[in-house]
Amino acid sequence: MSENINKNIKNVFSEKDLLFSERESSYERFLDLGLPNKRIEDWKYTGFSKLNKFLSQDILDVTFRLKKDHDQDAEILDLDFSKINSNDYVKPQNYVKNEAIINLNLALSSQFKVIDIKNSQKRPIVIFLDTTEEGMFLPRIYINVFEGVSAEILIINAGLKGFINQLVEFNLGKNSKLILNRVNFSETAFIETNISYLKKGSCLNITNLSIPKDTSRYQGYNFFEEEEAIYDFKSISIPRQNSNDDILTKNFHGSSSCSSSSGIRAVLGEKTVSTFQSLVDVKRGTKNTIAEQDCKAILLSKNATMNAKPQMKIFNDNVVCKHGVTIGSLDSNQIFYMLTRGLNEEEVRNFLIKTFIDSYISNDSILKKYLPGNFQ
Amino acid sequence: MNNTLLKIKNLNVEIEGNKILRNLNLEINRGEVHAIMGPNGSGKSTLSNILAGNDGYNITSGSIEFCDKNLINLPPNERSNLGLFLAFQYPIEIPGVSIMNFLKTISECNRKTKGLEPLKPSDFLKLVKEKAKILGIEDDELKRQFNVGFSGGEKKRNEALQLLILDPVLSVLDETDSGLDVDALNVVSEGINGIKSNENSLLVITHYKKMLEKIQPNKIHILINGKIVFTGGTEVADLIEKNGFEGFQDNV
Repeated sequence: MSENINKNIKNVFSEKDLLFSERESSYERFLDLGLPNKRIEDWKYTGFSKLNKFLSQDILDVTFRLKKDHDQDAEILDLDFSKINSNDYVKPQNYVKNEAIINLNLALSSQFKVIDIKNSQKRPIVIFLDTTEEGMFLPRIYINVFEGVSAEILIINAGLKGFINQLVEFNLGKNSKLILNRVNFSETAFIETNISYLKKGSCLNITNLSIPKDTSRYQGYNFFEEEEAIYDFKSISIPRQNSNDDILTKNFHGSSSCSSSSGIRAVLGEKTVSTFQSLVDVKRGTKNTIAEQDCKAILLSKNATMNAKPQMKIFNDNVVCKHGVTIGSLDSNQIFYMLTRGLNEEEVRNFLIKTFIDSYISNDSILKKYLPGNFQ
Repeated sequence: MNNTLLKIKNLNVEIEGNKILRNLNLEINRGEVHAIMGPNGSGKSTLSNILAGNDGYNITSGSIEFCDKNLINLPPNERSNLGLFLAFQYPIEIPGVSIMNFLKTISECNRKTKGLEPLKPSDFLKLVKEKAKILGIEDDELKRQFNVGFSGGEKKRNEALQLLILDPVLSVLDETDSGLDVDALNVVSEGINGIKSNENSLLVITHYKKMLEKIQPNKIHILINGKIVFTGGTEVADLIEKNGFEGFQDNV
């Protein structure tokens, strides 16, 4: 593996590249850590060591399409790696320690998009990412929302082939607000890491609709760098066939008066697996933290599995934190009631699942049209 | 068309080996209103659940015919599509769905089974508001989540609203009057009276004679220990109010 990666680095990047030493160092860290496996606590439910085969494959770029009908105040730039400040480049691995997937992206990424949103947007910015070839895809996207700006983004991930290891960073300026709608239609091994840096009074609101057809992992690391920031994450997990959808959020409350909320609604059929791990980490000295974690899952099959692991690390008294987990099948009383009103079993099931999802996302959510047809 | 709408013959029902209904016989003709009264645990709600198709009960023998069809092997939705409606004693909550959305869903389903197109949204809205008004339900209430946070009386009015929208052939009202205050009881009873016709029938399960005074049943049956022990007219309700069920125990 070492030789292949070394070869990959040298194939893609020149030793004269200003970031070459950073890439090498990230690569060494990756080699030390190895691909995630189930012995690692955060990956205990979903190992990715089977992805070894991809490491010898070519590094390719994802197809990155931008829907043009948004306001043109947002600049989308292909960044020249030679112009990136080395500290900024390695910032993710300094914030999130010992995460091999991040190191792998930093070592080998060949695609770096920067989206600067300098003015408030009236309509969502729509980004479509897909892959159609075998290979390793390591896109990195940096989304920069300027002070006081409000914007909405829809990112649709629809990778069909290869192994995608996508790193997305959000830098939210003071009093800015970003609504991020994320759709995961991937049909191949897909890992996305989100890292958000939240300044004073900023608000990051993520709704994640995850309908993968292969093993998929979303991991969000959120850093409250200044006071009064808000992070809200809602995930709807409907893995297809026998796939595995793994969601992890870690909210680091390093500043006072911030609030975070992470939750999931999962609908699991056949042999599908969904995992929700969520950490609230309240640092010493912060005050007035509000945090919430909640997980609700409907199991439609005896072979479906929901893993839930809420965690709280709190080093203060002045904190309001709550968490809850509810996992079960559809309510038999609700089913019977609906049947007596004339709906057949399939209609009742779809109605109740639709209701379960509808109660979690807002009526005008852009994501509703991406739900499977029977739940729309 | 056969005038007999519902015919229950020698029905025996058990739960986990305990006999709940014993050789129960009941016949309701089109256009008739029947009431069943009985002490707690006599099997009244079991009967309503059996009619609606709840599979938590074991029917050991007997038959149930509804609209000339054997009801026992039909799933609950097909019973509903034949025109049987159960107003639940304890209506369930469905968080995340408004009453209006729920009514639209069941109305469309009901019309589909009759080979009818869904009503136009404006016509449907008009219909719902009209029926809601009969039951004293405000327009704003229709936007609320289905039975979530409702009082007992509000839930019962919601059941009655569904009944008026679906306009069933046989309505089984399982203690619809419990939880209603006097005013609401009058309003709901009038609403239910409004659907009475020569084609439709009602089976009212109740502990109290108040609703029966309003609905005026043709027959009142006394159910004790899973068996109909006495059948009479409206005077039976007066007897029960005066003496309780004590006097009927000898008939068991």
